[in-house]
Amino acid sequence: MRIGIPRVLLFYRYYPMWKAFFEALGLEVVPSSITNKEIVDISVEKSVSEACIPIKLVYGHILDLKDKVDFIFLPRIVGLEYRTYMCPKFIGIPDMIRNASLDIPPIIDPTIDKRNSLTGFFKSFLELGRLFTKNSLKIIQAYTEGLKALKSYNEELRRGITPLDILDGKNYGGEDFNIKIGIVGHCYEIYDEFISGGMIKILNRLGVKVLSMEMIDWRAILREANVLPKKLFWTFGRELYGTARYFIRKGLVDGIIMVVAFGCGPDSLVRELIERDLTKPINFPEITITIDEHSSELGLITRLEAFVDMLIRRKQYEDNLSSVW
Amino acid sequence: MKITYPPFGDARIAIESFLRDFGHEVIPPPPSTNRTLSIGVKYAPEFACLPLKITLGNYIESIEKGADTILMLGGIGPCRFGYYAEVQRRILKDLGYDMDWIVLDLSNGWMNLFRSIKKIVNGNSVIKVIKALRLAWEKVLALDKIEKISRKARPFERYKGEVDNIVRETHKKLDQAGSISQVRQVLSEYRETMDSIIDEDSLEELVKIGIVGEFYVVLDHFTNFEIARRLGELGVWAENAFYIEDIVRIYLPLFRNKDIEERTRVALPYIKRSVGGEGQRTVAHTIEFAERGFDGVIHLSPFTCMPEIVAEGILERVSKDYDIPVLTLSIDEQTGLAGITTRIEAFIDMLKTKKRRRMAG
Ligand code: SF4
Ligand code: SF4
Repeated sequence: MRIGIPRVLLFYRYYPMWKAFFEALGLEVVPSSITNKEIVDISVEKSVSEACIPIKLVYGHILDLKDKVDFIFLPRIVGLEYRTYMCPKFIGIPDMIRNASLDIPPIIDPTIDKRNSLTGFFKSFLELGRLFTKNSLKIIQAYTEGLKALKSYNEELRRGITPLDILDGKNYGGEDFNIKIGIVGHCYEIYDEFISGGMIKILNRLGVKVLSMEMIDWRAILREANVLPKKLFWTFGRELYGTARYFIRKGLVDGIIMVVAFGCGPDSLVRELIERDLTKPINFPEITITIDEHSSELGLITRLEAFVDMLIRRKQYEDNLSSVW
Repeated sequence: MKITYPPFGDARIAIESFLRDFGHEVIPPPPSTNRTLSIGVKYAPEFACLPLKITLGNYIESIEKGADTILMLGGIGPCRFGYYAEVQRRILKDLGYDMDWIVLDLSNGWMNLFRSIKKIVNGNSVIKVIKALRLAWEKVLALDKIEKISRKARPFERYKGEVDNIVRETHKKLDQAGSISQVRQVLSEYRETMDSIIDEDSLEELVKIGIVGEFYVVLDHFTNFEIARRLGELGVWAENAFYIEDIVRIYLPLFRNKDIEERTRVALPYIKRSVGGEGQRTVAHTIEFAERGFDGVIHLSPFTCMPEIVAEGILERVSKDYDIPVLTLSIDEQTGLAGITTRIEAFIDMLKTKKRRRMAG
């Protein structure tokens, strides 16, 4: 039996785990194609026009899998930590897909809700495994395999290897350049090169070392975010805020690029917090890149170049200052 | 302490009533206008949802009138509402307005909630508090009835604006009413007047539309371009899926009752769990209107509202399954009245033709 996994949303965070889990249960795992023009076009046609591009792309990736698999895995991810939520669209996406008249194989949409349980993912995966086998032991083994895969994936990410490197077998983040930029955005925006317009590679060509959230210890990020008097209740929001604060406070980067999907609900507020609390008061260099299905690569390159130029000039100025002193 | 609050629709009258009864100096937010909106738009994040922008404008206009304290609700997501106060607080602070915020928010712990409630209660005795709350609640119920009846009456008004005038007068009296019996008196006078306008025998011939969507835009007349009035003037009987009472029951746990959950149950085959805001309810209410034999549904959604985008993605199927036309109107500061009117009129025309055909055959 073949199970399809669309290359969207938390794919970039959990794919190795899901793959190991399903394979241990004896399924063949088929990821959807890397986002291409065709997927984008059909996504735009089939989805609600007001949805953000990451949600739109789910439609296209599901259709990409349509004739290749027996089931499609599209979990309903409600929350990943105590008293936090994912964005409402994450919670509703399986229902949106199911009701969209797409004529697709059955959707498997286990609810993943880690908010109130100590057992973590385990309960969701146990239920998920039951769909394919009655043997609980086998499910537990598969789950352990999944966790192992996730652990080594995360270790690689921590070492500064991006999901792109792992997919392409190259190294985009590792080399030491003079200018360092922290990218603050969701994994499914940054690492889907269609959405992000290949931002990381462009920056690399411009001689910039790129840092992203995946390279920092998750707990350290959350600690940064917990300084807020009212904690953010979106996991992503906390991660974005925490990452930005970590980058700035530890002096790891010369500037920050915020990547925001057009019409993204949570980020409209989180971005405001980052600006008002973190960057504006100290004049920290920052730009926001808004992305949607119409974004042009040319426009992106121009903006990135201008930003990098500014950082270089700023750095030279600071170096001059310090040599004078 | 000069206290103000975010108004939504007619609820302002009830909120003002109990704050006043607690002995606060109340600065009621001036009625929302285009100025309110443009102030809000100027200072709020570009992609924030419309209610955040308008209420920000309301606060600033209240501050201009001397307010120094803001009463607001908080909470935990998944939609943005629970974080409004945090963002608005920062914006006002950066503008130089250091406001005292009373945020009723359980997620900051019981102690904080208790402290906020104490500030509102303002040293009043338990009996006085209960009395004030009962009166405010009676006003809420009355406001809802006034609104519901006005929807029925407008298609029959004898001159344009007749119903609005009566409603306005009644609201004034309601605002002044100091006891439950006075509230009831005001309401029964209103009923009598309206009964003389409504032509009960022709009610069934009217096109009936249900209004569903995000609560603020459904209940706030300014935000929704006074859609109820416009529909009434087009000879349509428009009912809301919910009124102020329902929203109080949904968002204040103290008032919660089982009906709220019961009502969402019909949506489960389409949307398995709540996605925050009104998302799941919007689907449920659309089905409810279809089952009650309404001719169509208008779905109001603030631009970028996440729960309503999920709902919109599902309503297409519901509309087919239940054979009920649904018009989604997404509203933000760029939405022009002209565009909305054209779309509504086309929708109504379609429904009228459909209804005529059905009644004929
Ligand atoms: S968090 Fe933002 S980008 Fe992600 S699904 Fe929600 S609205 Fe879209
Ligand atoms: S329900 Fe929609 S409009 Fe209301 S706060 Fe949530 S996201 Fe904003």
